[in-house]
Amino acid sequence: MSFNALIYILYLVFFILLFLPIDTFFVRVVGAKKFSTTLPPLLLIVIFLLVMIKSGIIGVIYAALTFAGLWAFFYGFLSQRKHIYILAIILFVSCILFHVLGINKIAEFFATLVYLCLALGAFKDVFYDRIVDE
Amino acid sequence: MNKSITKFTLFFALLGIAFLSSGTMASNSVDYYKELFRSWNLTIDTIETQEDTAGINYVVEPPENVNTIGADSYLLLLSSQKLSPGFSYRNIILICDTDDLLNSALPAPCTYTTLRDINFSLLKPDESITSNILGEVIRPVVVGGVTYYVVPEILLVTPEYRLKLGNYFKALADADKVTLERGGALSKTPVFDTVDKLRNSSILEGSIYAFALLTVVLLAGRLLVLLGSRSRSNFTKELFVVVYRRPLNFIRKNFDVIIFIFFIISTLYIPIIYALGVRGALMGDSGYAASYILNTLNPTNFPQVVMSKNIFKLGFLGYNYILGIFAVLVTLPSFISIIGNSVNKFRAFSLKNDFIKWAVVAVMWVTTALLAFVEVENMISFLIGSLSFLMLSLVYMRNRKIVLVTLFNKKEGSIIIASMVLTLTLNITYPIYLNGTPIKYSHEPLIGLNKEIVLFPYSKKWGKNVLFRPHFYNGISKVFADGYLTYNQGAQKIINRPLSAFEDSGNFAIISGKIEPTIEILLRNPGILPLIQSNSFSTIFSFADFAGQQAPRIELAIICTANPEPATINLEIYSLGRDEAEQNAIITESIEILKFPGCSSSDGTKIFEVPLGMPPLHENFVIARVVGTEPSIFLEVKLVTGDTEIPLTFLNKDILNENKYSILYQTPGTAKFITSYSADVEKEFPIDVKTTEEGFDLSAPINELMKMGVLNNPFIIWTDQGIEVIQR
Repeated sequence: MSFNALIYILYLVFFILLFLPIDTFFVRVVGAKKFSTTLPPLLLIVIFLLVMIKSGIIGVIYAALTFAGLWAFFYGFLSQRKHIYILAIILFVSCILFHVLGINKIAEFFATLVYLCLALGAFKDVFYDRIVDE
Repeated sequence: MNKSITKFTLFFALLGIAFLSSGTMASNSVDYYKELFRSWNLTIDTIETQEDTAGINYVVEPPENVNTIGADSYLLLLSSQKLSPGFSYRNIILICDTDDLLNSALPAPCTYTTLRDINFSLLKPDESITSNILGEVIRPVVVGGVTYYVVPEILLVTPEYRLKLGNYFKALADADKVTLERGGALSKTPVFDTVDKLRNSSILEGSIYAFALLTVVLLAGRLLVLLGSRSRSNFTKELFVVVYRRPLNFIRKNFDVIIFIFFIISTLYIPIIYALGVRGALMGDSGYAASYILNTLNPTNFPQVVMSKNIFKLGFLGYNYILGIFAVLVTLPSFISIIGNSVNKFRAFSLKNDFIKWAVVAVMWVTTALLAFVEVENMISFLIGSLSFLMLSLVYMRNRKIVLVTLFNKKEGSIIIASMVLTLTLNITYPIYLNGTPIKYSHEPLIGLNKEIVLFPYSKKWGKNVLFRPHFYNGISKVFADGYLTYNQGAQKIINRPLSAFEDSGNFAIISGKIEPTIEILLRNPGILPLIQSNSFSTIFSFADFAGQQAPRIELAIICTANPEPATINLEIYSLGRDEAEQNAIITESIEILKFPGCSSSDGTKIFEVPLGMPPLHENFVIARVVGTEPSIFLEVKLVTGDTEIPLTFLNKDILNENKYSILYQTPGTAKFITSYSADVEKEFPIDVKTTEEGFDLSAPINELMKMGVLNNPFIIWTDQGIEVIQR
């Protein structure tokens, strides 16, 4: 069995645990409930560990960076929209400044940051009301 | 006030003078050219010389990187520095700055304007043919084991020549790195492999942007709040004071002092950048200041900066560390506050149930669908993102007491189950379909670098199921891909065979491979030994059994001019099993022979004679090698019993260099059929050499090797001529 198949099966089990009324089933069989809240996170941890074993130390670093990236994205998403756009303007001015100074690599980096701020601002404008319950 | 201003001005002026008079400033043309070649990414050493009464210069100050002689460092010499014989360095860039053609130290006829019979003062620098001629400069001259790059000074003082020559030397620096990358992922340590993967990952790139945004927010967070508010009264000078007024208690008491020091230290950058800018202008390099700062602060250059004995560079590095510490002190309170703020925000906000339920379903569906098509190894970052999102969703639902299954109605539930059944079908059927269809290869250029000039040896990194577009070669060199000979001018057929299948007939070449398999084959097939033996000393040698003679000793003569470090030196002895049971096994014995205490250049050559606790040999001849330190520090190794020296047969030292492929032996002349043997070749691989008007398509045999899966990643394309232009 390939590693892909193993991961897929574990995801499938996770789906069954999460989407099917398994507490009813476990109450009948084992006489206990709460499996629906404990088993899915455990299963996710098992999948995570398997992926870590497969990828090595790089997986741990990816995980840390992913959490940091998600945190930065959500923090930006929940902050005031005006702040995001002002940040874009400040970065835009800095970008021009670095370009004039001839440090084009840093200017390009700042230009990308401007783009990210604008994209985040637009994403927030379009989706905030649909995602967040005020 | 005026006094303070005067003191401040005086301070900056002194700093500028100190910089201009420091070792980094070109005090003479050697220093000037040293910095120029360094700006072309080459590791350059210089020596200080003094002229004696006979008009011959002798070395006063040894090279800075004397410990790295033999690596990818270059010694820069002027032809006017008529060096006394006996001084050697592996790679020398010789700038001809005189018109004296009679200088015996010159490895090729060269003057200020000419190299061999080319007079550069008569050429037009902007013509394309000139660029080709400049390529000749990069072709080294090897004299007595020393590789010379001979450069008439006119090429360095004429702007157009210098620009073009710079591209060649930059390519040379790239090619130097290639030899160190040989062996691909297998030869790298896991740490470097990890760093490589991380450096090339999009997730790191994304994270850098995230951290950069965060840093800007940290520095200007308060400013954002103030600018975002509607009150105009905030636009006062107090704004700049309150920007940093949120430190931790620990820093709060001294915060004003910290920020003042930080500001003062930061302003020092102005004279530094000014001085670097002046220097860049003198050198005609507008980007010098930026490249100097980046090179000095690059963590990978740290050992070089520390070893450079350059006071300004060391001072600049130390200054930046201090600045960094103050930057951390200044930003830390804001950082902690922003973390607390974000945690509060995350706790307070509430997602719409519609979003959370469909987001979880979508992430699960996409992940499980992708698992059908993409190998886990290629979607690690995506999988981790998916798992992180699902875990955070579970935590969120648990805190809000949301039971996911209750959010869906029956119709939605049916759709979700149907979609998961679809992914199940995909995961079962697609791998079966894939097994029955031929591999679809994508095509990319063999030389994918967008650089003006690319040289052999070239390191090619490749992705999965990739083949290369035709790349025609018109040169006269033998061209190899890793241990495989792919082109030989004049040959109609090339056969690559494992070294274990060696036959001493016809026209053939023996290529270096991994050390231990090579030694094993040499033991099993001693007929190869005479072909790869060397007349000069090397640290790998064979000798016959001397059992029964007096207690043996080993003599090691070590060259101290390179200041070798202390080390434990071992003798590794390889032999074939003698008795029936061990007949097919290779016996490896490692004997600790010397605890070398190190020595300094003033010691000259030191000889260590130590008893050798020789184990009983398993065969009447063995192969041994001295390990534990750089082979280049040994001048001689002798085995002695009583007063008798045991004859050693030295083997080609290139066998020991796993970082670089080389030809250990080749039959003279050319032939229509040529066989190439290497321990790295596992299966016979024949090539029909068909050349067209455009040349020989190097990609054709390389693509076959790719399909066989025998090339390393990256693999090395190299030639028997060493440096050669592959793309211009």
